This record gives sequence, C-alpha cells and structure tokens, in this order.
Amino acid sequence: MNNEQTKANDHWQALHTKLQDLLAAYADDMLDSSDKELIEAHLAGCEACRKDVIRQQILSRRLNSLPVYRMPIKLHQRLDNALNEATPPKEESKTKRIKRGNFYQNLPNHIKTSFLTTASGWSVAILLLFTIFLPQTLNQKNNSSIPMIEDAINEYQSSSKVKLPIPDKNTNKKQPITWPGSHVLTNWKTTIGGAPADAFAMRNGDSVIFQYIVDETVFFNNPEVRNSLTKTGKFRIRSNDITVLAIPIESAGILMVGPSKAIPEKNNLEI
Amino acid sequence: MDHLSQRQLRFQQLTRPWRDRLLSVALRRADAFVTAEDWVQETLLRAWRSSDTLNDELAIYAWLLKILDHVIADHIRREARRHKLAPVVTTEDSLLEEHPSAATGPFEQLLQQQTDEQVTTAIKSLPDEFCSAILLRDIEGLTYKEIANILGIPQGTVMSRLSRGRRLLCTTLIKQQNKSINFSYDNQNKTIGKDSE
Repeated sequence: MNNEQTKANDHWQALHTKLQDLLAAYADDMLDSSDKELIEAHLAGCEACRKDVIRQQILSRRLNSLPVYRMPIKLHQRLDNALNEATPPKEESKTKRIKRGNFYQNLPNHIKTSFLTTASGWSVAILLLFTIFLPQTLNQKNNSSIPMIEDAINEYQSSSKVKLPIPDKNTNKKQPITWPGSHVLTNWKTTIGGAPADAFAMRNGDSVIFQYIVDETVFFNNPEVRNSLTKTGKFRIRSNDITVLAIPIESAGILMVGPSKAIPEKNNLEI
Repeated sequence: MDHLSQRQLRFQQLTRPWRDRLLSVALRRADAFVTAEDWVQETLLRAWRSSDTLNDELAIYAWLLKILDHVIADHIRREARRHKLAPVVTTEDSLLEEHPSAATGPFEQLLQQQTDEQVTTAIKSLPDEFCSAILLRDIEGLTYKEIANILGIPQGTVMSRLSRGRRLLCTTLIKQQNKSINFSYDNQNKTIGKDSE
C-alpha cells in the first residue's frame, strides 16, 4: 500500500468515526442539507453505518411505543397537599387569605362591584352553580377498567368537591360539541389516559356535564371501545348514576360524562 | 382546595396534565418508585417557587423536564452515585457486526419480543447522560433544540449522545436477550435432568 492509499484510508477512517456521532440526527431527519449530503455519501460506501441507522430507527420506534405510567390517586393527593402547604412565591405572600364561607363579605367594597366580571368571581359563581346542579355523585365507586373512562369519571366526581377551574382562554383553541339548549360554563386543560386533553363543563337543563376532547391515540386505545365504535359509531358505559358517552371526531375523540338522564343523544349533537 | 389563590389554581391547572408524563420520565431513571415520587414532588415544588419565571405556557412541559433533570442531578450528587464512564460503542463493535440479532430484521424481532419492562431496565442501565437524552427524544418526543435547552448542552452534543446512547442500548438489549435465552436453556436442561433421574 503506497503513501497516498494510506492517507486516503486514514482520512476515510477519521471521517467515519466523526460521522458516527451524526447518525442519530440523520435517522431522525434532523440534519441540515449539507450534513445530510455528507452522511448520504458516506452511507453509500459504509455498510456498518447503514445498518446502524436502520437499527436506530427501529429502536426509536420501539421506545416511542412505551406506555405512559398513570400516577396513582394517592400520589396526586400527596402532591396537592405538598403544593398547598408550600411557601408561596414572593408576590403571593402579600395577598391575604380569605376565610372560607365569608368570601363575598370579606371583599373590599370597591372589588365587590366587579366581583362577577373577574375570572375568580366567575369561578366562585360557577362553583355555586355546580353544587346546585351536580347530582350526588360523591363516594360512588368508579368500576371502569378503561383508563380514559376512569380518568373522566374520577375528575367528574372529584370536581363536585372543589371549584371548577378558571376558564382557560389562552391555551384552549378547541371548541366543544354542542346540542340544543347546551351552555358552556367553563373550560380547562386536564389529563385523560395519560395525555393532555381539553375539558369543558357544560350545562344541560338542570345538570352539569363534562366534555373532554381526547387525543386519538388514547381514544382508540381500548379494544372494547374500538369494537363498539366500529359497530355503532359510539361507546356508552354506565357507572352507578353516571354515564360516559364516547364519540369519535376528526383526529380526536369526545368523552361526555354526566348523570345518565342528562347525557344528550348522539343524534342531537351538533358535530 | 377551596382556599387556593387564583395563582395556585392557575399553576395546578398548567402542571397537572403533565404529572403522569413527569412520573414516567422519573420512573425510567430512578432505582425505586419512591425515589421517582420524591423527584416529581420536588420538581413541582421548585416549579411552584419559581413560577414567576414561567413566561411561555406552551413550553411548560419542557420547563418541568428541565427542573426534573436538575432535581435528578442534585440527587445523584447527594447520593455520590458516580457517573458511569460512558463507553463509546462504534458501528464496528464486534457484537453489532457479528451477532445474528444485530442484523436489522432479527433486531426488530428482538425488540418486539422484549417486554416494556425489559426495555426500561436496559434504558436504566445506561450512563446518565445517554439515558436522559434517549428518554427526552425517543420517549418524550422533544426536538433537539428543546433537549439541548433542558440538559444545558449544545445541539451537537445531543446528537452525539443520542448516537452513542442508542448504539449502547442496542448492544445492551442484545446481551439481555442472550442472558434470558441462556437462563431458559439452563432451566430446560435442569428439568430434563430431573425427568431422567
């Protein structure tokens, strides 16, 4: 082997070693065009790197399919308690805490007039409305084994104990499904089946119904739900007095949770 | 919960949807479930204390992941868990070149046969710097830019950590499969031995 050949081999080996660090980005299609061309030229003559790229893509797909763990309710409660007891950030420490039960009376006069025009005012008003219209659902056991259904029922049941979330206008671009006589009370972000979901509290007559727009990967995950959707276009499950209705929409799914008698028929929905 | 301030409620609304995913990341890096729980709690408490620095609500998950990464780094320092020396596996590694399961078809089959738990165990065994890059990219689906920001490293380093980490993970998974095959083979032999006695 002459000197030139040795030099060329050394150069190839150095480039080969260097480019190995870019193979992940090539496999993920994250390289700019010049690096991509360089890698492709190298791959044409390097079988080891070609195999490596394919292995990385296979591995990445497998890892992407790993499930999200669902946080146990006890841990949620522990986190809620820890956060409630945590020292508030500086700005917060100046604000007075208002005694329970005397909320309106404790407000300064100049705030009282604007009470129902502010977000916090609305949240309290909604709470009052909610306690009037929500059925007695506390302490009922949720016996669904489908994670998204379980999450939806749990949130519906636990929300009767607390304020409904403040309307989240900044982050919510989605609109709920409506039906004649329905009225949106508030909306918020939540988690259903381990993925973020948009939630809406809606009034139907004298009842409150929660509606969730659920990610399609979660929505179609359960075979029981899938079968029912294929056969009837909907999935309905009842747990004590609460019914959950699941309806597919474009690139997502809708879950409606509420008192069985108040869940609207699918035909009445304005999808 | 009815005594919570508007700010507390807002914080909880923003962070609550991400709790499951945070726990998932923590569990894939922790030795024990309780450790992962503690990490998530500490992450949320730190996030709450510095919630005034949050200016982009859409990037909240990346922000929480960054805090979680700091919490884990602190834990590792406290526990004096030594950083494993990150080995460099090249594409000419003898296992990747010669092992039948390293060929692309058999490798895909191998991955399908391994349970989620086995795959998670293999990820956990990686040196920390590889483990975090792989979790954020391949499981959490973040961009290279987001990962660079969370880990406080240049994007080029994200690329090299992913390349090296994935290669190391491939070899780990192949070795793991070998072990389980040998284990079941040994057990089968023992059973045959007993039967013949």
